Amino acid sequence: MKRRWIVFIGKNLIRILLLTICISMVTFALMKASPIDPLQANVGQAALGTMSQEQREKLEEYWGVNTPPIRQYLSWAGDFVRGDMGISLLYRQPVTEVIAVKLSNSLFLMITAWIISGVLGFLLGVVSGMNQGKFVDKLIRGYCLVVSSTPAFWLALLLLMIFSVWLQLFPIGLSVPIGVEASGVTFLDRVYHAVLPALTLSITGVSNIALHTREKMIDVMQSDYVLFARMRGEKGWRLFRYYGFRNVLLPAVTLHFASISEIFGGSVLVEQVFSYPGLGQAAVAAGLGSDLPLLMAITIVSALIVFGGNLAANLLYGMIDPRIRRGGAVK
Amino acid sequence: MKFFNRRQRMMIGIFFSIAFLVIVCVLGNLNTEAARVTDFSRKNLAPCSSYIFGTDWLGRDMLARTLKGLSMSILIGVVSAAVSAVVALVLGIAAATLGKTADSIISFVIDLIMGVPHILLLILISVALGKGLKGVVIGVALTHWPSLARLIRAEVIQLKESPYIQISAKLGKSRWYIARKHMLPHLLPQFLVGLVLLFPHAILHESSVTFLGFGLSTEQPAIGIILSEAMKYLVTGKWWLALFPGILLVVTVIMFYVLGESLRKLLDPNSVHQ
Amino acid sequence: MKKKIIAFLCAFSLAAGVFAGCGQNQEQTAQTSGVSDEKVQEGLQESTKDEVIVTMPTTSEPESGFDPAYGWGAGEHVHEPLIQSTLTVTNQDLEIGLDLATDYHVSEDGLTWTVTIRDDVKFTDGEPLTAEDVAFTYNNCKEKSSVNDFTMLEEAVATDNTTVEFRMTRPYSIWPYTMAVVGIVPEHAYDENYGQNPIGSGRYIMKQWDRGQQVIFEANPEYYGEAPKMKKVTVLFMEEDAALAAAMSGQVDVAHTAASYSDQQIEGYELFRVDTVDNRGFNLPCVEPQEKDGITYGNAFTADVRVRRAINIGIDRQEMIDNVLNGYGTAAYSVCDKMPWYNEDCEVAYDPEEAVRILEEAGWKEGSDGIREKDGVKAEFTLMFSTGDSVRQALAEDTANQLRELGICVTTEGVGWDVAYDRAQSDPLMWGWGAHTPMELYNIYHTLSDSGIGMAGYSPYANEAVDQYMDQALAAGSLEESYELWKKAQWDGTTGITQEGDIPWIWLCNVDHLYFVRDGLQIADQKIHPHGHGWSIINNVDQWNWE
Repeated sequence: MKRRWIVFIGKNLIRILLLTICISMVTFALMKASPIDPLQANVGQAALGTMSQEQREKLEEYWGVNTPPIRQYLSWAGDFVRGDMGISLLYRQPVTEVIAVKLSNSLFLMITAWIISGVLGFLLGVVSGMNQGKFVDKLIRGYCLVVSSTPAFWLALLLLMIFSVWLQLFPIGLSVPIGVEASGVTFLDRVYHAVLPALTLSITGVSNIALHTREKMIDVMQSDYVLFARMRGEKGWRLFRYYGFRNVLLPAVTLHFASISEIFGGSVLVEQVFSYPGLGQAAVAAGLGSDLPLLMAITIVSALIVFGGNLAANLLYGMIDPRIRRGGAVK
Repeated sequence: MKFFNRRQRMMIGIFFSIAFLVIVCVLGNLNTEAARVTDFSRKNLAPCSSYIFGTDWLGRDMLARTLKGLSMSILIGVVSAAVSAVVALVLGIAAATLGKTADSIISFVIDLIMGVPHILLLILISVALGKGLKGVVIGVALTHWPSLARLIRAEVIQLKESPYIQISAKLGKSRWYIARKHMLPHLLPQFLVGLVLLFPHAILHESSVTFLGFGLSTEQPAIGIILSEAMKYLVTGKWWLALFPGILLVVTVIMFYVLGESLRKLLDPNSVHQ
Repeated sequence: MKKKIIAFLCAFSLAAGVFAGCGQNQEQTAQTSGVSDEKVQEGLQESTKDEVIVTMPTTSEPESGFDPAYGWGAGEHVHEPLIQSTLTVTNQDLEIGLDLATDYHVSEDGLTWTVTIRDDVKFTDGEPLTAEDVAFTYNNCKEKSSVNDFTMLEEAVATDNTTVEFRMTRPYSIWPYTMAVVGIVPEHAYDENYGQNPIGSGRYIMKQWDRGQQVIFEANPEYYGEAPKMKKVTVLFMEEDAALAAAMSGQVDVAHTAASYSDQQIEGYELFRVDTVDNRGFNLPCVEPQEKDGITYGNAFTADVRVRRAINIGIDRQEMIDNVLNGYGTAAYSVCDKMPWYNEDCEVAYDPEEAVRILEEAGWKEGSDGIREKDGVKAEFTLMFSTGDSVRQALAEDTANQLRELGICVTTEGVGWDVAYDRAQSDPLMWGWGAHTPMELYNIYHTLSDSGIGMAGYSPYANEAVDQYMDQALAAGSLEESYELWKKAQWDGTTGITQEGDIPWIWLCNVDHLYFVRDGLQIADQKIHPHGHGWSIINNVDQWNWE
């Protein structure tokens, strides 16, 4: 039993490793294929000239024209494994440092949004599913349709317009108050600045999980055991608490783990609108400024996060699916 | 609500959504010139009777710009989603029919593409192709096929196992005959619905990438550009720059969903008699 | 069906909600901001009479820190380095004054500059500033800097504690302008991290730098000159819209802003405008198209000098300034308007009839579509602007509108800087220039024999006479002499770069630098600002005061 779990996890981990390696290769190939020469693009902004000689030599070693791409890739990968992700062209700092700061900002935002949208979506799905065909159900489904048709950045613009410009309840941007030392920023400040971005992400993240939970809920409501329970006179909250909850929760959590990639994608857009200095904003800046080392690292970090979510989903799935729990750890 | 039966209601949904999209495209293309014309004597006008969507800081008519931008987005979305759907069809069938190796390679590629958040992948592809329109179209086409390919693969595998196809094969019909006569009619509606439901995703992603600055250049009236320009003037209270184009974009995307859902229900054999 | 209707209702009510909200937008904003404003202001005025918070564009943040060798003060945008002191300074009229230097003179052949410096200046770490440090600074800049041109310097040598000699590779009469922007760094405290922890002898000490966000300066208590009145200066880096929002909520004292925001009324703030030489203009390639190394040089339409002349007088600059800049700008006729080396012959009057006459005379006849043509060549070109720059975009659009009146078809296109330089060799590009040194004339109009097709660097153009005047100007014995030669390079009575000359660039306007300034803050008189809406404003922040 225990061994099977280890095999199951091990297989997943190997697959993740393989996928990550492939992603790094594809990303590298895409970057090398780019007609935009990163050094050229940065010279244009009089920025490359401000790098020290050692930094420049190191860069040329990575991205130079002299070494064949495969050798470049290998040397990059070698450094990466040892924890050296290179120097960011844009931020003039080791990529590891840039990522560490940006990731902690982003994670705060994404985890909040992920939890809120999960809980909210689940509740809406349950309510909708238990009232199938009624007005509430239609309202929730209509809401989901509108929300999934709304681009995250536009919703962010709307919220910014309403809450920051018009009502002046929230700040216009940045993750910390202006003019305050880094050490003087309190946790509350951070929360205050993350409210609107997190709200945007939560609103847009609801639709998938709600619709999925609704389907499951309808299945459950039509099942024999619920029918029996109903015949015994159970209804409403009790019916849900004892017969629906467990059956609907795990699939919902599984799906939610698997949809981390969407939250990440949304955060790229939302951070841009709120000028929130997170990983997404860094990705956009790196893309626009052809900052190869940074963009590569961000891609890999985000892929790892997504795969982590998928792994969690697989594990959960394994736990609830008796076929996997009992035996063959197959996908 | 009970004037029409379900089938008729679906037809009406399809008709309305197609009519809306066609009208947007036609109006957009009639306004190509108007969308670019600048006139400083009428800049920063709030919505009024002659410019119902207002004008921007260059005195461009936002209604014309929005329509043109939407029709461009629809065009880009439809073209790239169609390419994507064809890729999905080919790879989905290949995965299901060409044996285990092909199957595992294709699922690996699917996992690979799903592993990187869409937006990030679009940024990467756009950078690889030197930004611009080409990058967006190819990017959207390359990133949207996996989910549909999975669906088609599952469908084909299920079909292969089904008795009537097994029997047909036992009767000595060629693989080509089976594919054409038995599989295709079953697969086509699925594919069609999948294709239509790719459009809204494609359009949302196109506008997002353009909004971030990786798509068309800034003098083009793409919907993403209109909205990213609007962002600069939000704080001065020029709400109309962001509001109307955004609403029309949302309505357009909803129309595609309505179209897809109606088609799905219409083509679902179980719903014929409802 | 119901579902759809509900969906629409949702969308509609969402929209309606926003509508209702936006209708009251304006007054609401004014009220709320007024309240928070007063509060903040009260707090500030009681306790912080000698502090000031200033915003700047994000591009103003020095990427490599506050090291002159990597462009601080002496890079793409010139300004006073604040943290370090300089040998000379530029005064109100942009002529040369003294700071660290007590005297300077140049040898007969122009190849040796001798500068004596004060002996009472200390770095903020307590070490005295000597001629050795000066020599080190310049040699270091020469070795490392690719941002600024130091190729005219052979070496700097300290001959004694207070005398430094600059040995030049070629005569360079405008050397004092270079000396006005290079901050002197301490040799003993200089390493590769200097940019992060700069030590200098200037008016301010850099206290804290949060990358991507802000820099905090504090007054140098040991400063050898007049003690700074502002004891603490905080510089915040943000975009214009964020700066406006920060001003609206009363969080900053000086917020940089753009003409498109100039109509905003913010309670407790006033709009403050500064004259600039921050010009915008576009290049017109002066030769027939030819290709070299994959780059096209020249443009068939603009190669005709009469076309360029017609364009120059066919643009109503004042109308453009009113349209695009809400009037916050001045007409530009050269890259160096109002500088001591500006030749007033550059100025032209708007004359559309004359422009049409010139075009007709040159054989550019109107076609059936209203666009002129000659020998099968259409009177048209693409005018590029850097993508995302709304002012340049608007200028390009207005240029297109105005030139259409003359029968010239202009298409605008946004491009990134990665391709703009190469493409500008064949298509006009909307540029921004303006510096406190005549070197800019040289960079734009002087030919470069060893690059491209051997013409001027940014746009194909060559005129031997112009080249010669500028070479002579650099070799001149004194600045006054050189000013005259720089003027002759622009127009000597027979040839040059003006309307009667070759007119290879069209200059449109100088963009005023605009700021929202909190009531009560007295900003000291500003020199004409160069290109770059950033550090220049605080060149003299030490003399600002609160009333």
